Amino acid sequence: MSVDYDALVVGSGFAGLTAAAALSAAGQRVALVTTGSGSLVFAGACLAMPAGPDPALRCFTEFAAAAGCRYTGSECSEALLPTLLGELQPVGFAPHFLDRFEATDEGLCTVAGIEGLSGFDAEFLAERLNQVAGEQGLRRRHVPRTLRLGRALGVPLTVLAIARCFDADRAFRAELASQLREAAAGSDSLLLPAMLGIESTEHKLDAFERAVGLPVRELVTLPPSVAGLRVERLLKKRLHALGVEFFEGFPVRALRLQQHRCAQVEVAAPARSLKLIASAVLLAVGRRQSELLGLHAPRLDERQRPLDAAGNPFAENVVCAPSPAAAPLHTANLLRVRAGFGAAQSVLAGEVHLAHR
Amino acid sequence: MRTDSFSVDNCLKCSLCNTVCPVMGVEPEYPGPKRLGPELERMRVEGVATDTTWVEYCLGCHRCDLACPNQVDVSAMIAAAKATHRKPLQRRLRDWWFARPALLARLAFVAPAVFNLSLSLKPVRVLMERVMGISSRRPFPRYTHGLQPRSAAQAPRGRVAFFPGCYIRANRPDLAAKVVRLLEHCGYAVEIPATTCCGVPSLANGAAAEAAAQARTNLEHLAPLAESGVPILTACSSCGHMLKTGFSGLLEGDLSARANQLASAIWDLGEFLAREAAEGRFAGAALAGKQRVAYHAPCHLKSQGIGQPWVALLRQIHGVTVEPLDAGCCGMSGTYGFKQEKYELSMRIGQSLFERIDEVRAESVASECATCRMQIEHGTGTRTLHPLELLEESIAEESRA
Repeated sequence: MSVDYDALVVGSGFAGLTAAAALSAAGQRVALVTTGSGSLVFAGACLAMPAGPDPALRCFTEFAAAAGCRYTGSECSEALLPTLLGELQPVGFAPHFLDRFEATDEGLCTVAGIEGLSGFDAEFLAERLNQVAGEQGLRRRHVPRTLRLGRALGVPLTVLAIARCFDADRAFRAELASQLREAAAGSDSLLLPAMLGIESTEHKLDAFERAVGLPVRELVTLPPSVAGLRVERLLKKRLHALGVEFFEGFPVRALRLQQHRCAQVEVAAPARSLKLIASAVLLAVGRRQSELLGLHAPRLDERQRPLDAAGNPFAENVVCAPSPAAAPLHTANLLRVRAGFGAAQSVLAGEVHLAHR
Repeated sequence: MRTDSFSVDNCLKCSLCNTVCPVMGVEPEYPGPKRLGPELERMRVEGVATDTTWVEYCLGCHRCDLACPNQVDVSAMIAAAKATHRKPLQRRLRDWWFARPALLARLAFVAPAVFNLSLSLKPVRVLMERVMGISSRRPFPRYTHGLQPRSAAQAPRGRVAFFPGCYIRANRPDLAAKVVRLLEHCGYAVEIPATTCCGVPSLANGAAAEAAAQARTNLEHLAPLAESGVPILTACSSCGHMLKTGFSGLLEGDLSARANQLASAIWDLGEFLAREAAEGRFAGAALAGKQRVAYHAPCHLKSQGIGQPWVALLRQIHGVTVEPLDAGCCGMSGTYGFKQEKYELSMRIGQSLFERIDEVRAESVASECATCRMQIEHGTGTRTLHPLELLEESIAEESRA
């Protein structure tokens, strides 16, 4: 099947999603090829604070907001994100539903655990957060509570099972809201493991919060990360709505070159390679890049095109969003957003596919 | 999907397969693909007995395979476990029939009107529910006298072959006639070789030997066509999936190699017509009066990795707006939703889709899969159709004009 796209993005992690959003917003006809999910689904999809105004980050946060997954944060001051083990991680921008410590925070926060849920110890967490908050001169205090869910959701109980019940069952959401309201009576806010649905939108979470009667924030758990999955789902849905065409589940087998241009991208679909044709190809495949290009850690030219050993572009119309070098998670995520945005700008600059027109 | 290699070791236990499983989403007791697939497989390959109670609840939708970041053949492992799972007697007897829709159709062909009437009588259905565990709430599709094989005349662009599958052959031969008209419009001569069931129902019902036998028969009829370069088209996503995966690794040795070669000649009808559309063959297609159609992509279409070709194809028709639903699995999964013990689960799985269809308020819902259509009609009352019907209607109108 050969259809013409303006741009074909390979990869649906932070880089690929940002690139597809930027290209689509600029009116390009975009196809996105992905084997499934990028690494953002395994954690909280948070971004480090940039060193100054950052157009890539702005593009991403606008995209996320339009997707119903608003990111909160500031370009000039870091927030502190509590982790499962009671540490405070510096973060720049994070999805609105994740808990953050602000220097101005006061009051009492109920840390709600779920009976039978492995990997989340409310008592330990509350104690640790109190200790850490004290050490850092932060005034928020924590008190643990454990809820018993009114449903048998499988043994062992996982946040995934809770999240999927939350998505499917209105009665469960109502029951949970009233249990939390009761458990948090007298507190100013509530902290939960991230479990409030994979399909939740900002709107749905706001409604839940109103039912509970006080601010509800979530904490990133061990995978499966409901937080990451929720973000990814919303971002992909937005791309669908923008008209991006998805080819999901199968990897790119090869880039077919003809006279220094990538003429076809071959996707390893069952039975017969799917052959996709696009004016520009944007690789956002993380560590698979070397394999696809046949070049190990290639340098990029000023148009973000990978260069071979002789210093020539691999192809006139192929750009890369390179994988970040080892960096802390939130920083790596920010670098991915920048890489995707940068690669998209190269494509949009028109120089990459000038010859084709 | 690599069914020729030992992919259990690829499993990272990341649980991504669990996040997309439609059964797990609504049934917390269901252990999920990670457990029923790679976790139990590690024990099965050692010959350790495992509890297979839940394996028959797997839909066979392949979403787990698509989500896996490391090419684990999750659904193939579960399908293999289904074949060794011992069901209660009532289900064994019932599923023997469900595994053989071609045989059931041959019975129906004797006197379709009588067959249809009986299957629509409440007392008969209540009896069937009690004795065989076939849900009386589920309407049966109507049977006809069936579809005869046809050979191809000459045509400017050569021959294509059409694999109808059991549903089109037994229940909707009119769809085959429309497929022929569409392909003839593009300048092809259409052959319909004698074929049997693709084997998906057998595999889904744990009758692996039967599925392999069906695969061998189909290979015999289709391989010569493929070897002569004749494209073989399917209009049912499940048949397409089965044929494109070389009959899901059921065959061995030489036959397996031939099956994989056959696979490369298989085209989904939408995939094939999209190529024709790119060459302008449906440029004049139009329907009088505007139509808003919602589109539901079957799970077995997603597993073919070709995107959703009918969306763009239908949008080519002047007067048609298409609303892709993108609301998950319908829950029917072929014979699954007919089963008494699975009926309610099936309807719960489809609930998000039903709600989305109501939200969108389209006049009709288009989908390539016959059982998706059945489920959607049953769950929402909305009119359903195969997308090929709209395209065929538009070219019929064009030629009348």
